[in-house]
Amino acid sequence: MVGDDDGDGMGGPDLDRLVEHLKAEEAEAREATLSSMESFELWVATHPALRQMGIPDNLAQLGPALLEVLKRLIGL
Amino acid sequence: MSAAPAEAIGTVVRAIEDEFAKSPPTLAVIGLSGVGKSSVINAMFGTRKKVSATTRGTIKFRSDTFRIVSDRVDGAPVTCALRVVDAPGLGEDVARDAGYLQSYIEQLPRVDIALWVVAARNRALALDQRYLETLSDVLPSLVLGVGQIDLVEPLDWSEAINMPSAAQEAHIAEILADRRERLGRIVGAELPAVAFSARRYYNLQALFNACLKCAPPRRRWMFEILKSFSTTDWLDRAKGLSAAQRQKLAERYITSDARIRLDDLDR
Repeated sequence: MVGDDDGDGMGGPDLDRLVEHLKAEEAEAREATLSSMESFELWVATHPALRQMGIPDNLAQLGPALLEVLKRLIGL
Repeated sequence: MSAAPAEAIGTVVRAIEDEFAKSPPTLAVIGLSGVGKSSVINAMFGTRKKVSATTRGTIKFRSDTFRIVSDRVDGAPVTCALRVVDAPGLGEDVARDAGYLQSYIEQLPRVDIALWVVAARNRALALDQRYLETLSDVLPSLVLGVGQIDLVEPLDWSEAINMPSAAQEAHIAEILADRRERLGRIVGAELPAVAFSARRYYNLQALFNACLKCAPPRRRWMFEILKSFSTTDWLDRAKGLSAAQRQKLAERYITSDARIRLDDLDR
């Protein structure tokens, strides 16, 4: 078992390394997410059919719930 | 906004599916036979490319289009596609290489991302350098992936935390700097390079992110939708964690793979 077992179940140098890497992985995932969101907005803003159908180029105008679904839809 | 919420979702989904059908995101994976090209594609995108360990899987230059149904939101599946360009036998037979390279020259100008994979333990880069030189004029932005780092000396991967040991880590850093310099010299530019293990899901996020940065800005989101792994896949392979530890770590640090349902819209 990694770390000590002091009730929290956490601790130890191995676990510290693991947590550091975990944070790095998530930072990478967040960075990719931001980049992809910008990319998606760019695509929406320049997609003729979506503009014609009333999808705003600023996706935030869709409202928070719908925006959340759209973000999940594309893995963000 | 003139579209109602449900209608707007349907409209966007149809537009997304049309975009994938019309022009699927394309990834070229280049590297010598046996460096783990199929493994990294399978790990990143959930494809089912055949991995051949001992025998040549195919002798033809391939451009495969995979149909992938993304179900990131319950109730709203999205049909996507990914085109993968690769030559599984590159470097195996000198008689075939000229044909493979010619096919790459024809295909590379049309790919979104080019990932050059080398195996960390392979110090002999002359073939990679030669191929890179041949292809440098047609290569789009390139990412160097240094794979199979779990097999780096002294072969004492920390199974408990699914990470390289401290000794391996130091060795991997040297290898990464060396490969980046020796291959970057050929293309005359600094190559983005990531050390990873597809088998362990180690550093796949960093590799994926590096690839994403090379894709055309208007098409990066298409790769994100196809991404089939998350930090959890790496954490789940840390054999020294108890279930409680794993759960606690995931709750504290992993935010990138939450799922929602369309019903959530009504709440």
